[in-house]
Amino acid sequence: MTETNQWWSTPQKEFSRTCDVLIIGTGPGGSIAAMTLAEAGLDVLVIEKGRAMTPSQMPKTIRPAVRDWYAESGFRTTKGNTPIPVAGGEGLGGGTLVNSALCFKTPKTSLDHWNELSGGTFSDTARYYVTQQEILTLMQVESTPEWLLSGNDKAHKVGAQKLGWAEGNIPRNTPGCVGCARCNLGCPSGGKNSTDKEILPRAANSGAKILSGCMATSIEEKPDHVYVYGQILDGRTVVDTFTIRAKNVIMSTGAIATPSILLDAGFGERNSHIGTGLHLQPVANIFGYMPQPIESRGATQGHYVDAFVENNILLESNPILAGAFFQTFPIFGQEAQQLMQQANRFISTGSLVRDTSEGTISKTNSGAAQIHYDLNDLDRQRLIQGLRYGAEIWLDGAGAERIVPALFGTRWCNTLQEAHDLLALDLDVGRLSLYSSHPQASCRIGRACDDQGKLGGAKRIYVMDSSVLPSNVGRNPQISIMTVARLLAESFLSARNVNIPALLKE
Amino acid sequence: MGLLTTAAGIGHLGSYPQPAIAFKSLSAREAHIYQIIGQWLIPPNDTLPGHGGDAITLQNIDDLIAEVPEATRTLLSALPLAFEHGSLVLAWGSRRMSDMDATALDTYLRSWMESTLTAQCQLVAALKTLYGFAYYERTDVLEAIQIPGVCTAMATVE
Repeated sequence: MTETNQWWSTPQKEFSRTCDVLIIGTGPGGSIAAMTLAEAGLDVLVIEKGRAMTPSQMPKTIRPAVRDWYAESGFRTTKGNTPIPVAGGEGLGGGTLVNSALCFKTPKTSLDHWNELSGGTFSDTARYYVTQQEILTLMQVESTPEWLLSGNDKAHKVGAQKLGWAEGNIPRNTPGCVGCARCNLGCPSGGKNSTDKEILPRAANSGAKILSGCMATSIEEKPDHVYVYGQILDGRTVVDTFTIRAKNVIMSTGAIATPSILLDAGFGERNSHIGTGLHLQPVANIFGYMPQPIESRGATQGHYVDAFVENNILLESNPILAGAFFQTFPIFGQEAQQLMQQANRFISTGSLVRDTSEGTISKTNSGAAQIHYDLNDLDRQRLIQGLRYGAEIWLDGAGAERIVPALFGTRWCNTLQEAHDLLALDLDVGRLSLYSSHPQASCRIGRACDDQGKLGGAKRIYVMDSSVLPSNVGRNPQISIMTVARLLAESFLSARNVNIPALLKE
Repeated sequence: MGLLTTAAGIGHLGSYPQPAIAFKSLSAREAHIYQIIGQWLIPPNDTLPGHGGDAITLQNIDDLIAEVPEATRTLLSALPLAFEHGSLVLAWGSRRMSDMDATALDTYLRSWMESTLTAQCQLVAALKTLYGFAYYERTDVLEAIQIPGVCTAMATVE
């Protein structure tokens, strides 16, 4: 986001507008759809609930970042057999603003699965992969260089290599990364190529109007238009209202908010698939500490292990957040104060599982998303297995002094045997302390939407975000979401006989 | 049994001191409970600044929860109350937590921290998350524990 040439605006008082296409949300899906349609010459209006902020205005610590940049101030959580916090970005750039910049390609097995589930929507795999490669180029994705690996990443790598596990440095969209390990606060150096850097400005340069601080609250479809009503926000304070009349609306607010808004607007009466089939790709973490200090700075997440992808488990080195260690370590009082002073020895890895469990989303309750998700037994076992792998990489691979699996009611483990004793395969699901950053597939192509992303039961409403994926990716989904949204935007243009603009500029 | 319950409940009544700080969201009762738990959970230490019950930490807790959706705020209101009045069940007949003397408080909160009951463990995790981000993510604390709290570049990119 440039500091001087402001390409967005933030309304201060009531307004009414009309447009050909209204895009709600500026995450990976909405941004690429906005750029594609605007560069094709369509009259595009984009609204984003969150605020806009330049790198110099980014919050300096995690607390204001969570409060201001995360959905529901970071308190969005599932109901079910174990509570799972579900992160989501709010701000110009959506999730790309606060993610760790991980840019994995869509695995072929996932694409094949999507194709099967959607009745052939993704059969042109060559086109998919060409588009994906262009997205990777556009996002300036490169493997994390060795010099940028943090101490946590390096220990993870040493551990994996000692154990002989397939591994690699994580591909990230951070061409200007200086290694301050604070991606999740919104990149303060401007080094992360989130969609507010190039993609949304390109949309604006082609005539798209981009408004921050505008939250859609209701949608009403008429024969010739869609009316979207909403609130103008100053932070999270409502200051006024707006009305937009659009010929078509594209929902891009993510796999939690998109079905929530549609259900609140009553579309669930015409389409029973909205909000069903939700995947979370839950993550189970292993924390610990090394015998000696390690470098805290570096890539926020720079190393992965994909030796267990056949069992749908991916290990990724984690961000080092002091608060998360205090929460998980079984410490309190002076013991906590003593141990936390050794935070420069802390290590963490996350075990991400491509879940088979499916949750549901229902109407919001006083502004809070209602997410119901029961982890099934297969995923429970995989997450426990993932924790065991995490214990192994730290204790037997990297030479950690002690580790703690993130469980409700956990304890220190000094040896792998102690970890296995704690992480019994029949461990109750309610003991797992999980986390999700990747909700997906809650308005799926092949269920809630057709192969163009058009919402069933509607004529002028489309979905182009993580909710439209036919199933989950199995990896951090940013690039997959952008690829699918680009293909759907191209279909939108083709259906109207509009030429498709090039994704990459000369 | 009814009379016994009533008698035990009476020990849990009473008012709370008005906080010296004007909080955006925390009530006087919540602030008082968080102050007591915070000072026990993260006590003053020679090396680290402040503690878990000081004004900055309480303001940070207030700030974290001030703008959550109304339904979530209602749920969060129950968290300090579970600790304040959990003594009715966990330490039968004792006072509310905020009226306990130091020895009773230590025994009572230690029983929460060391519990193996999943529901209790989940509440402890929620509580420690709040303090974790309200205290250990303070810039002065991060500096003291040698984690870069603000963007400190490891390199300059041309």
